[in-house]
Amino acid sequence: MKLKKAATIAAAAGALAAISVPAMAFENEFHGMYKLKYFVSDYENGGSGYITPSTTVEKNKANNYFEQRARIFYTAKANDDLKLVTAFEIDSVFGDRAQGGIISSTNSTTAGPTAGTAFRNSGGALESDAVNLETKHVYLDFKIPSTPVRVTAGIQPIKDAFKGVFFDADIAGVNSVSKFGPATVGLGYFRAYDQSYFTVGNTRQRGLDDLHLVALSSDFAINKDLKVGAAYYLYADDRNSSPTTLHVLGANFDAKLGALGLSGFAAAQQGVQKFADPAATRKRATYNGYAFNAAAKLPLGPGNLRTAALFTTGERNANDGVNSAWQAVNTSNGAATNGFVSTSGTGCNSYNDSNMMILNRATNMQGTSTDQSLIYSTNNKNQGVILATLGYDATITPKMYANANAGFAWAAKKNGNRPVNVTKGNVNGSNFQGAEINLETGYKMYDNLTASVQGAYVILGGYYTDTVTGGKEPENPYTARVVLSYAF
Amino acid sequence: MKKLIVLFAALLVTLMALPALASQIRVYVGEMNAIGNQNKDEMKATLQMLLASRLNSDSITAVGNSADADVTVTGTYVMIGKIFSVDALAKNTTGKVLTRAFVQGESQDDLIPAIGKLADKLSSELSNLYGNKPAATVGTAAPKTIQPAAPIKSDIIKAEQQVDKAPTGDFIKPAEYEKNTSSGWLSRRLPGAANLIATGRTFPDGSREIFLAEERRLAYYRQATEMKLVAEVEFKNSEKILSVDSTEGKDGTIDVYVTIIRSEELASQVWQVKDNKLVLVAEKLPWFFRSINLAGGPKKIYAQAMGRDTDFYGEVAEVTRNGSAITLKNPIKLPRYGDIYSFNQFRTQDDKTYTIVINPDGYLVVYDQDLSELWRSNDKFGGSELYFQKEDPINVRVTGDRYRWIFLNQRVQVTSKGEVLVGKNDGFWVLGNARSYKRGAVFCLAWNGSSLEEKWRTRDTQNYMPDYYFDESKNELLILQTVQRPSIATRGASSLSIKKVE
Repeated sequence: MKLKKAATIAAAAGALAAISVPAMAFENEFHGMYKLKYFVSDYENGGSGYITPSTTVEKNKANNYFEQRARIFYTAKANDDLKLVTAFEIDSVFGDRAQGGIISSTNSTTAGPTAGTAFRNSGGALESDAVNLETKHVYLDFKIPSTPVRVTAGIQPIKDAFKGVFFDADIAGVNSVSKFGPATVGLGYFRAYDQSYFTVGNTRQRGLDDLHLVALSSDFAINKDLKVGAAYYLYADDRNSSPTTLHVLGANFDAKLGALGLSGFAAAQQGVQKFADPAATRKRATYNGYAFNAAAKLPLGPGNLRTAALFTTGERNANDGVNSAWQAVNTSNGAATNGFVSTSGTGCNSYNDSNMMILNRATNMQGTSTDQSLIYSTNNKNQGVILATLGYDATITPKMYANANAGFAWAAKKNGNRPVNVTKGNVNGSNFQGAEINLETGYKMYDNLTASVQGAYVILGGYYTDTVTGGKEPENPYTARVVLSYAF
Repeated sequence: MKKLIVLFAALLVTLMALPALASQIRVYVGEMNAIGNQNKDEMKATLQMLLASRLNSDSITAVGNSADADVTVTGTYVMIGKIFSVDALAKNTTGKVLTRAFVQGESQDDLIPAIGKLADKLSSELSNLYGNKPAATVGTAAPKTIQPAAPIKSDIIKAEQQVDKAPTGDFIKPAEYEKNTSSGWLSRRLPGAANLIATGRTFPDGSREIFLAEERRLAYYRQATEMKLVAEVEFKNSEKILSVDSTEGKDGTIDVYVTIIRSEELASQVWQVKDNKLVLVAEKLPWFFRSINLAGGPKKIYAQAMGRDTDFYGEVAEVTRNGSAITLKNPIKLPRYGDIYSFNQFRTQDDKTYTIVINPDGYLVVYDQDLSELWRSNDKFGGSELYFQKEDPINVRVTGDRYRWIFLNQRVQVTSKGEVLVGKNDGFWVLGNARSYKRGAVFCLAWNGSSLEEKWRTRDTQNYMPDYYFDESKNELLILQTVQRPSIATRGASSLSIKKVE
């Protein structure tokens, strides 16, 4: 009896200790954001991808819609050197879908959601119930004891050292960052796709036909005003019979000269795609693209004057076996070939220095599901891009700000992806894709809550002349947005 | 015989202690309302003064501040035709009405004698109420809850006082759970929600210079019986003050180092007081500044730089200023989480110098001379609403926020005795970057050879405590409070309380 009592007490004490110790040790850290946008736009409609004025009608009627995004970031910190990081997202458009379910293949031809049912990016319709919580990130962040190595393992966000022009994505992998005084070295392996999940009746083992990404980078802070870095990325797509290997190598800098802030990079790509088809005219195609950037920021008056330029190389004929266009990552689920020039995939690259709302994919000007641009990828359908921008960010009062930006974009090369001038029956000779003027003004109602109005107008260039059916000019894209943004 | 002597001595000590218990009633005469009189403002002040001086007696002390008082008297003067009435109301510190009294008169000639009568009535009532009992127990708590060793009137709670007492009932009465500021000096409401405080010179008359900084305003006050605003400067909309620190030069002038961030870069300034004006003597300095009594030593100015992608770059070093030229010397290596605002050093009894850091989670971490971690607190400290932002192009896609938030935690101060002082704020809503603290306190800790042990702490403030400063020369703790947060329409308001550390 005594033994039983002692055992009970010991068990209870053990259980209590098991419960109480983690509770005492764990730090719960929450962050989050909520963004609500009301759009009026002739091209934006809540989707993602390239805006293609040539495929629309001459007089595009405006869409108007409300879109919201909430993200919750929860970090369970066991101690300074060990934490589990998670991020969740809920996206909805007012009136979209609700009250539905996911159907199975037993009662339909394919599994998954059908029109009218609720899935991710839903729940904005009447009686809002929906299964619409997305898990964005789940990864472990820990430091290897007695070393300067910090590891992040799991589904995590990564961005290249070239301002995101190659990739800027959420991806599963294992990454490490090691600090050695003023030097930082990063090394990571990521697996974007395992093709065995996309092959019907798959008999291949997991992990043999994958899209791999290897990232190696280093930064060195020479002094407080100068930081230089270099990076190498390996993009190895072994998912199909035409495997692609792409090496990306480049250098970057971030400097301050007096009050002037300067940054930039130069990067080169070398790679090959092999074709296994014996009947193919070519056995291989090579890649050799380049990307360059320079940006400057100068405090002036009540704000900052900014300017930036991006150049990515293009290719006239991507089918001649040599592709000199800069390649960038897009989603390519189960793709039969690499997704570099995908027009259906979601962009996994960005360029934020521009501060453009329509002209290119600048994620700092977005923030909700709407993800549409004229130059959606820095690859720009193998045409490359020359993008020059100028802007001014003003602090009008401590609570009120206004930003104005102007940008000009050209295709670097002419190729078959350029829309056809219907009148001439050929593509236009002009590389000028368009000029954007945008304005944003906002008011900080609280430290964490900002209400703002955004507006952008793009004057389409000669690139689009008479490209709409009937030889008409496409309508110039515009967007007007009212935004409520809460971040904590 | 020996026993008798001991007994007699004990009785004598007890008798000597009694007068201390039967202390005078401290009365503060608040503002008197005046109705029906032409010179209202003049009349209000006159009545207040007349009543205060007439209340002053053997049993009553008229005090100049409600924070010091056991009883607060307010009143109304009404004049209809030639007849006047003065009605008075006495309340204790918990707001309970103790007594009411009034006097009337038929002309202005009767006013002064009438005030004397009113004072007599109030004195009599209050004396009856209090008798020989300590003032704080009247109408509130049972006498047995008063611990002679732990006078509840002090704002400093010592460690030995923090023993939980068994509650005498199901309701905790105010005297047992007193939170109001009850001793020391309390300023009036100061315009503007100040985030930072620094002190300057102390003058022979006891007054001292105090600098308060809001987000975009630096105010120079002279603190005597009141806080008198001497000068202030307003900064540009694009600028934000991150710290205010002072140091005295060889010629006796005070340099006020104001760390300013402008367009995400440091553009700090140095000001001096000349002819009661704030004069800019250096600007556009790319440094974070802070004055530190490192390891309880003399106060010196230190600086740290900002990096291209790191908020605090490199080592902290001592500053020598020559005009706008800043020279750094004696760099200090910092441990993990250490930056210019989060660290300090203290000396142990065996003359070792340890570094203490308040980490981003609010825990105090002590490092040895080799910067290896020795100890960390179980309790959290710190908590600040002061932050600056830097553009965050790497994470904007994920966070949806164009900026990173960098909070500047409560500073750690160290006295010459090696005591460690640190502020602590608590709040109802503190989640991620959304912070709204409700109350604060200052803790004093001392190294016992293996860990930091609490020596005392202040009572909780009733508001967010953005900053504090311990003036060791006067043994006074200056606690800044935000009594009203700034909003669209107002600058908010602050108050400053000064507590004697006994």
